Amino acid sequence: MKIVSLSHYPISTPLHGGQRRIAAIGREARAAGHEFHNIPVFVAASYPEASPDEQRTALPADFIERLGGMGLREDLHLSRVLGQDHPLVGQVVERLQEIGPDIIQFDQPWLYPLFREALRTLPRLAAAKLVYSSQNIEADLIAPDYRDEALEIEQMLAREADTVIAVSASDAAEFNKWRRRGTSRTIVAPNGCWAPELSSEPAPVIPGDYVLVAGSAHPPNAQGYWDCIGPVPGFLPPGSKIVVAGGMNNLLGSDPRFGRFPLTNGEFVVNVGVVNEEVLTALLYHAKVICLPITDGGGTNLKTAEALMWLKPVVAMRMAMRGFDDAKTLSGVFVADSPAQFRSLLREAMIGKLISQRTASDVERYGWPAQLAPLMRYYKSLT
Amino acid sequence: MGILRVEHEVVRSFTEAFGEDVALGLYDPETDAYYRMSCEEFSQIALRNAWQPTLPSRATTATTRWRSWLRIGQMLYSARKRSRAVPGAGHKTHRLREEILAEELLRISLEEYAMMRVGLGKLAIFWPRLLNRLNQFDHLNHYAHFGLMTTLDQQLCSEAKRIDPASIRHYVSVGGFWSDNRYRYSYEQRAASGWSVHYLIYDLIPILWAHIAEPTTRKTFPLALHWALWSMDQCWTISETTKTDLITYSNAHGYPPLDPDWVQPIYLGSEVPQSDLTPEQERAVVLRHGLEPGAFVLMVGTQEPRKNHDFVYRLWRELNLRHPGQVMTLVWVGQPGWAIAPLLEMVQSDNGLPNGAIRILPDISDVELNALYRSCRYSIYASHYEGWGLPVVESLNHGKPCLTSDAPSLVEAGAGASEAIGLFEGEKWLARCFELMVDDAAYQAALERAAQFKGYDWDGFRNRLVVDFKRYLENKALASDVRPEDAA
Repeated sequence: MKIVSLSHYPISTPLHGGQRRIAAIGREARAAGHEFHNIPVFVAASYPEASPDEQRTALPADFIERLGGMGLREDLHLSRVLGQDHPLVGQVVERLQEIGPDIIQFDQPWLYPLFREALRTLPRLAAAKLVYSSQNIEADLIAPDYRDEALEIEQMLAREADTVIAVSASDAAEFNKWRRRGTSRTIVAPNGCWAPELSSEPAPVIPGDYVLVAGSAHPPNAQGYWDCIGPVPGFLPPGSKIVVAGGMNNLLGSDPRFGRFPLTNGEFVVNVGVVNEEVLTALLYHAKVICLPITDGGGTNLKTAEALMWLKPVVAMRMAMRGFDDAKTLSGVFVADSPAQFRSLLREAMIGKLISQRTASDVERYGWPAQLAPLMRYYKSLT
Repeated sequence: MGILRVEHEVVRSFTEAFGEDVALGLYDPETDAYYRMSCEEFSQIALRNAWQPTLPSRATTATTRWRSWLRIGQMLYSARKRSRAVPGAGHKTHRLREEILAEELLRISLEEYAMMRVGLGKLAIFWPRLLNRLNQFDHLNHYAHFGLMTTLDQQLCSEAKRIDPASIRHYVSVGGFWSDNRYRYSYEQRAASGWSVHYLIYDLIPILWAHIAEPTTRKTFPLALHWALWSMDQCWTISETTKTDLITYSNAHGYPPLDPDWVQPIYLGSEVPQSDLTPEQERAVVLRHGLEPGAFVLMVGTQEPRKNHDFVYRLWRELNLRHPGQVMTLVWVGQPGWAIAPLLEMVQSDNGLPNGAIRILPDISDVELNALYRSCRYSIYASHYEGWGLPVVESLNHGKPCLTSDAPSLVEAGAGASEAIGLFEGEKWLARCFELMVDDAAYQAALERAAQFKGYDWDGFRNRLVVDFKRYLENKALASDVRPEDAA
């Protein structure tokens, strides 16, 4: 099968969850013998690590300024601002026709209006299966002012797609409500992660004991931090730390709450920011505890899968275990129903009272191959 | 009074109960160690600010003039030889050489020094560079003669006085633990030397009211408290309010749970001091400040945003607008503190405030303060938040009605004898303040209420503190089958 993914970001250097998921789908699809292409339409300045090939379909940096000047969003309003006649759209359509895909899939709905007409009318494209390979119910995550507009686009894609892929059963149930009777049921392919592949022990990035929290610059990630960890990390015994990785650093640092306890946070909170795979691997390897302070946000979390796969004690809010319900009873997984309980569990884990005896075989099912198997079966069913 | 007075009472309670088993320790952040201090040294330095250096012994003048010159020559020779034997350069070397020279100068008497000085002064006519050396001699001679060669810190924190942490079993922290690294030291020694750690916590103002707390403390206190909460075996607070705040804060942020049974409020003492002044002299104190006995309202406390002088100023302004010519003078007693300058300037330049409506007295002695308490009509304490409420207690001790805000510790300290009004009940404040000025029946009732105040004494504080500490020892002994007396 020839599969083309149209995404809102490049995936050659996957850093955030969305990039990792598409990259994993591509890797699994290729491993299954399919041809997989990802064509990203994105603003160049937002992803400086994009490859030269990916940059061919990047929009210039001033595009964001134009959007901002009009009070519009980079994701939701991209189609409206670019318009179907934009040269980039033509460029992408041309590329699609060159490839002649069997499947065209969108990981988010925002680009669909740009290509909808072409996909319905151009012969080489109209025959392709349309797939909405969702990562969340996007309309639920967007700011309330934009919800109706987002919902309209997302429901349009969900209804018109030949198949919808969801990351959780609850998301799938919602998509099924939108789809017409008689169309195929949504396929659930949760997020996962790659099992650790280490030839040697990586050098520690942070000395001493620490609890690791990772998250992208997605506002709910920062909200989860404030709800569950809070401005004072009282659960950390002196000498230990909490290490914050990922784009959520920027959201935390710019929040006035971060400056209210400067010496305490300076001593106990380490913001490493966005890190590459090698550094993240080292952080995960040496972490004493991994925590998932997720209280909102939808979808399922790559971070949950990673936390499970690394066999460390995991302290998670119940929301973080969505899509990983059967993992709650695994050794070393501690689920909290309140922020106070979350902090209490973190404290107990950091002083060594809560441990993990999880094994690799216990968590194999959370790896990408197992989690994406339903999607691979779908691809195979079309051959 | 303040933290130092409390420290003094705690020292007294433990030394009375445990005698020589108690080591009074002075923490030196430079060496990260504690040094033994005597109670007398503590009293001199902390309470009386009256430390006197130890005067060294000095040689007496020789019996004959030629013996004096011989001694001077020997001193100069020895000083030069010893000084040159010190290798290197730099500040430390210079300091060592000065100490040698100072030591040598004490081998001649002051009279002999004067002889030498005159002689060398004559030589300086031919050798001008000698003048610098003579100036140095004069400087060192003065310091050596008056025992000023070593600083107070150097005298107190000498190696001989250093406390071996292994010799300590229980650590009691009663002062300002957040201003240096002692909280880390005690945490580490708890693990390394098996200390039990006991804290007296006054309040959580730098955390709960950080927005109107002094900037340095609101940075240092939370970090210090973090370490303290992770090492606390027993805690005393100065009020139920502080106990509640501490436990709530600890629980809210995931700290190791505090057993409420081991967090005990111990109320501070406050006795009415005996006055050395006669009634006429007391009256004179009041008159000297341009006040009329019985015709002013007192507000005592450091002037800072948390004490809410702003509120009381606006209260008094409005009172004067509503009842011109009938409002008693409001007297603010206390030093200007952090971030108060804009308010004080506002008060001084307010054309709408009658002249003398608010008098500010920053430099009042304890004797004068007692006279003011005895002579005031009543007192006001409208603080946003406190750990205790000493001015409330002091006012009631003097039998004077006290109007307070409804900050929980002020209500607690007043024990029903003071009157609390919420800070959002402006009209109630206005009505009550004026009523107590003009309505004799209302005032009499307020006096009767104030008279019900039983007070708090330092004997009680000391006793309760030691009893609770002993309770800890007994509990620990039961837990480990060791006799309490062996555990101390």
